Amino acid sequence: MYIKYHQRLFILELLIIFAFISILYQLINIQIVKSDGIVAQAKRQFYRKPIVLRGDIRDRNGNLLVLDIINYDLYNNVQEFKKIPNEKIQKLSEILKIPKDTLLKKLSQKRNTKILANIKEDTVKKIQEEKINFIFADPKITRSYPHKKLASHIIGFVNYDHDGQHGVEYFNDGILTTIPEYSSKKPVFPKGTGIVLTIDSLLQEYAESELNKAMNKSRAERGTIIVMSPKTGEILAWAVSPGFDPNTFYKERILKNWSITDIYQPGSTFKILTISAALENSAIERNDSFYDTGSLTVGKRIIKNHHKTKPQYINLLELFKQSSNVAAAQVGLKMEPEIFYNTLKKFRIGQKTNIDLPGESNGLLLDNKKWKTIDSATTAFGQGAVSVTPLQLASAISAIANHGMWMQPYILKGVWDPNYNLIAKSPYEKFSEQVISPETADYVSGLLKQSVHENVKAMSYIGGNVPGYKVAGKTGTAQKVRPDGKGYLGGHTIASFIGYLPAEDPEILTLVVIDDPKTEGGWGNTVCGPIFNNIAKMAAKRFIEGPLKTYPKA
Amino acid sequence: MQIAEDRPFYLRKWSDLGDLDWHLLAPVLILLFFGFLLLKSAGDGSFLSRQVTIFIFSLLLVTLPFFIRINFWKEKALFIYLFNLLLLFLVLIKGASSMGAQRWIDLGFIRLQPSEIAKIAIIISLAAWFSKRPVRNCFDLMIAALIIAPPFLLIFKQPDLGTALAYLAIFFGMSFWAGATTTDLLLGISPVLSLLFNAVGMPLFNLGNIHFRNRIYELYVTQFFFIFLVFLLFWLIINYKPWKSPLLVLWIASLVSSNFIVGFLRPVLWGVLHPYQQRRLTIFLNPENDPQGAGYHIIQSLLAIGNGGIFGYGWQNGRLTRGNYVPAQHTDFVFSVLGEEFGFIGTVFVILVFAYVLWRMIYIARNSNNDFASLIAIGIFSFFSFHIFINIGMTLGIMPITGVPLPFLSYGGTALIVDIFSVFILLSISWKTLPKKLF
Repeated sequence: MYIKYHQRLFILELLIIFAFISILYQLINIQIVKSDGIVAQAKRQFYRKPIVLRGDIRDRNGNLLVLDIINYDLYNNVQEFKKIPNEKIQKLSEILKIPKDTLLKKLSQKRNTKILANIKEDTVKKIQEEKINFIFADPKITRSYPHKKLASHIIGFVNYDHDGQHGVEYFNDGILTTIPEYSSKKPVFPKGTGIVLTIDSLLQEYAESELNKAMNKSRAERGTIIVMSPKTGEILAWAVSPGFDPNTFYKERILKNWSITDIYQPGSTFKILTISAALENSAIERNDSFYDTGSLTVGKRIIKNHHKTKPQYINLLELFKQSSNVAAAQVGLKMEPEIFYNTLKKFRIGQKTNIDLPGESNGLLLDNKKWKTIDSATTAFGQGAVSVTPLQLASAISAIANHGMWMQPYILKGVWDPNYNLIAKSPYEKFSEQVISPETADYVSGLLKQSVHENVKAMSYIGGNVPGYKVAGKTGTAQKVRPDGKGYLGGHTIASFIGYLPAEDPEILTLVVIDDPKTEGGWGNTVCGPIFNNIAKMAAKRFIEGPLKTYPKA
Repeated sequence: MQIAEDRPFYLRKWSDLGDLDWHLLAPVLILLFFGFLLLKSAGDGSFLSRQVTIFIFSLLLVTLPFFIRINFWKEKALFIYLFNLLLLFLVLIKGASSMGAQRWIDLGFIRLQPSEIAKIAIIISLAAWFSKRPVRNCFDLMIAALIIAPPFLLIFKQPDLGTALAYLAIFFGMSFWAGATTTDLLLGISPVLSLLFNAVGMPLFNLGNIHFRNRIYELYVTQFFFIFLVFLLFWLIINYKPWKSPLLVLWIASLVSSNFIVGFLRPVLWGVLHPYQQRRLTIFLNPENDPQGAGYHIIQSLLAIGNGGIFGYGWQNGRLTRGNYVPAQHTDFVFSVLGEEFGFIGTVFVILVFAYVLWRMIYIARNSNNDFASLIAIGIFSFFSFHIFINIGMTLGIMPITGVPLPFLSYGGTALIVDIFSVFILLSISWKTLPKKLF
């Protein structure tokens, strides 16, 4: 063979030496030069967060809504296994209720093996009492939502890392994980600060069941009920459908609270704000009347009423009673767009209410410089240049209920002090502003009261019929905007009813919104009226007649 | 050269054992011992007992080459080659699958991995071929390439990219020893290199922070490599002495054009690989891109090795090893266990032992009086060095992940038998050809 060994050997050896040197270089780099950083990085992988319980969440009456519980995983203890007396295994199998042979098989593993998961604390205590040391219990926290779907959109949930997601859990994550300084002895697992919400869980549960009933009946897409106190801005109950179970959030498809993130065109309920703005800015007088022919041509567009009426002169009371779009449009056209826009802006339309919940939408209010004449007319009855979240509308109308004083809505009533016996105030600053004069607000409230009263009497209104109370309210049946934003969907509506009572000095305001009901013509009155009545009755029982006003003291 | 005659193997007294090539056997035994230690700490003991059983079984089997003339393999090379092809066919048709690949034939007591056996079969058949027909020019090289093409494609189909590449390494090593010139080999390898450079997206030619997505520019930049090759060829044409044949022009022209064609066809050719293979081949350049997915193996392996520091955590005390952080730490990533538990001292020791084994293989190849035996030694050398460098490089993040086991250390029955078998072939070669009484 004519192989030239020496040259070839040299090349082979050169290759091998090159490969060895590159491996050696990398080894020195990793194991010596960069070793400290890598050791720290490796340590981070098996480092475990110390167990800290999140604070409880309670409703305004002190009922527990959310709490952390500790469960244990049982592992075998490899070192101790060799010297186990037989009777102790027998006892352990009795406590854990698993057969002896399966237990023995798991115990005799040479690596750490999980024997049982999610053992309750009392079982672990029993095991410790028996002085069984060949297994050890590994504590594990679970956030428990015992009421399941109740108020889930307000409360939110925690993710796999035990961090708050959505709702109060997310917004108050800092408070819930801050460990207070204990005056008495320190517990085994430190616990964060507990918080109290403004909601009343009984009313909340009632509202949710009513909403679900209505949703099933009308086969609607989604719906919400907001009950708030106009005087303080507290949210008393807030039902949202579709709902979810925070215990199994990973199985749920829809987790967002649409009534805070999504906007809709409010329709006739918005007329309350239009009339208030016009009166406040003296664009109209209290006893003005408007000629309503049933339709009004603005530019190329024609505005029509929902119900056909004869041509007639109507005053403000009749405007609310008949919910006349034509008259409302005339009121809107009498105002300068800038004045109308600025007044709506004061009501926080098109702005966040800054409620203490995450993900709030700004809403939509087109800049008045971009308004065309038609926009002044259509915005007047809540279809033109405006879209709101249900929460925005509720808080804007509650300003009228509260004699012209806009109160920032809120959900966090307070924070428990470390000894769990007092409620400190909510740590968030709240904003309030006189947006219109009390006289105008009260006059509009009076008109609403009168219109509801007469309509109920004439059997043309279902909503607002709450025995023993005078209700101020307004129905709304808005056309649905097409998904692409161009024009409206025919035959689809968003039904709503907003009202407050007692009308002279309102304590409770309730907004019911049902998106796209398929029954009863989709009218605000017929779909949402009965729900409003039931909720308002219940809320009045709890908050005006009942003892809830006084508990717990702030 | 002082070379003894072919002599039969016999042991009349214990001192005859001293005639074995202990320079090869002793380091191998040390490595095997290390392998058992590492398997003990990488698994819960069942790996170890199984590996030891296979080791003892293989010792009975592999003393066979001692009693067989080395030329027996040469005579039966064709049969071995065909039988090997049959096994590879069988595994494609009736093989047992594991982790998405069809690589094993279940024999009940052992799961046979024909792709491992094929390595030694290919070495024998190539050695038989080259010893009859040494490589005199580039056409001999092309003809020889036809021999490994069928097993290569069969393995590639399984899919087992790592083993397929190992066949290439064996082919290049042996044809080099059989007379192929460095330039021939470089030229033959160049389309493959071009493909890889092109597929990786040319990070070597990234200019500063500007990332050029322009396809034309990308191609242009890639051609830098080819332009370099063209210059090389011009230099060859002037200096190549047997430069007479018009066929050579054809050969060179075809190589140049194949380089260009590969560059343009890259999306198609690269698409032949499975997406996970593509990701594995390129992820080692930047494992942090996908720390939970394709980059996970490399990151965990680097952490384990770096965690060992200079002295390591000690046997059975590695923290990442105990926690099973590194996937496949008993097979492909066994080196990370070594790095964590025995530290820099342990890794350097094992690498030096490997180096000694490789050096001894070259030594045997050089001193053999038989071309066939010499070629076999070089084939085994290329196969071991490919496995060692690809595997260790992979655990250190400087080589792509191709699923190649580390000889003697990784868990795996067939691989262990083949490794020991090849060592014993080398022992029988050295017994017959090296001077006696090394000690």
